Amino acid sequence: MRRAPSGWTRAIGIAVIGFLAGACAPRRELGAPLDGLTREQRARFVAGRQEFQRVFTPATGLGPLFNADSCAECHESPVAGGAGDEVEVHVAALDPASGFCDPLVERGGPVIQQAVTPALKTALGIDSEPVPAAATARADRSSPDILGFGLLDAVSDSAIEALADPDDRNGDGVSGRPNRFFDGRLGRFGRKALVPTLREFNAGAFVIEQGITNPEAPTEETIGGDPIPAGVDPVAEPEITAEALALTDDFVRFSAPPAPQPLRGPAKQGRSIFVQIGCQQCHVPSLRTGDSPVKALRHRTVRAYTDLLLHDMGPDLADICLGAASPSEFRTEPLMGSGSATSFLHDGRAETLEEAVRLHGGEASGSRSRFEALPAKQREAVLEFLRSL
Amino acid sequence: MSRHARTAFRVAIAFAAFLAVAAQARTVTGVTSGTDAAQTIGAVKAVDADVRRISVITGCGHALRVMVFHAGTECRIEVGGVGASLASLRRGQIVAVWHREDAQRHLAERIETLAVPNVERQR
Repeated sequence: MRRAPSGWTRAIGIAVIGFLAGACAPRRELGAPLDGLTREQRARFVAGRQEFQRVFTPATGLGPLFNADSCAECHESPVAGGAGDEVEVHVAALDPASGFCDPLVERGGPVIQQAVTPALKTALGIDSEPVPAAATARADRSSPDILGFGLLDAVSDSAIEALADPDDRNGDGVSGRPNRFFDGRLGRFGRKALVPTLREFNAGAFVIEQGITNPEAPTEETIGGDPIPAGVDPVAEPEITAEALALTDDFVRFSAPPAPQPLRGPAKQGRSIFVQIGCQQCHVPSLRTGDSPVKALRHRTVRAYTDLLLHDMGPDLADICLGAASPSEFRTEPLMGSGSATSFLHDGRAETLEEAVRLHGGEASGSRSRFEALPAKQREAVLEFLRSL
Repeated sequence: MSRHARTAFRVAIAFAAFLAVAAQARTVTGVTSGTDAAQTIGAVKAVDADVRRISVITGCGHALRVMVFHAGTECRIEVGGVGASLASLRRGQIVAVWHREDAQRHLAERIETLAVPNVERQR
């Protein structure tokens, strides 16, 4: 007679099956929608992706100044909403006496468009918007992956403020603080965390990146402060409808963050070292979303590895001021998606994750030094962990 | 009370409630100026007290814009809740401007400095 399996045997069997099921479970595809969306929200995600990939021409409103002819031209790799290799130019002027940061709006700033339509080239003979002479600094900005940003939008202001330590009262050498938009609201989007909401970021991006006016950003950019010559931009404002803007916004909002790889071996060890050397002081492993009308965004944990705060990154990385951000202050870059990125830091100057870590300065100097002091095997473990995100 | 009278009474109550809510919403729009003036919140870019002009940075995302207001002598200005002159406003200060439009200009009726971060997030 066969003996019935003992409790231990059964437990081990269940554990093995559970492990295999977990290991073999398909990871969420990059560029997929969030889990838990309603059927209608998924339909808007799909329709929004088409708007995101829509290519504009001068006849449909493109320009007359622009950086790209579609959202997906820059946010393209490896899927729509991913990163891009385009680098754009931002400017500002810092008054050292008063500390006032002028985004040079009346001179065409802060975003300087790198392309013009044929009609504008014919009218003014320019190939790009001129950099204003008043600029005291110029910044290059790479195109980040924006997958999962709807979750960052749903994090409450108070959750971000709770992470701030502007006067470094805990004495750890790290002193994050929030940036604020020009009306005083807490900012979180953009490399300097200027923009308060994803919706505003998207509506503004249509104009500054594509020259596409919309109901929430209804006026064209100037050309270095001068108005657009008559007849150059024949499409009436706004150049897209509120629904087209809302669909594009929904695509970005409902996109799922890149799914991290299961942690094993060196990557698992790397996560522990990442914490030990203090990287998590700014690259906070997870944030919790607050209330949201979208159930899939409400009270969720987002493993973004950011605190959405400004930190001083030292003089070598410094470029422009923006809002309350000084030239050397940048928002902690979310590390989710690092595994599929091909360039790093705000201007894409680092070609590898290791180079990016080694370029950290300012408040991150301590963590960088501790990273550099690690044995090679442990440094590689940290990088393996970052590549798993 | 007949059935029709009860229905009419309920409709009247609902309509009165609607009017009350609508009136409240209008008060919020008009805010403290007590008028239908539009409100713009932004950071002071420049003040030219000689020509009674103030420029304010505002915008949507990174699509920033500068709005220029004419602040005539009748424009009420408060800094930190206290009456002040136009010249006392400083670059970078966050202000709420209640304004009307005429054919050529935005006419400021009232300007108040705002204490950051006491501004609610707008979605």
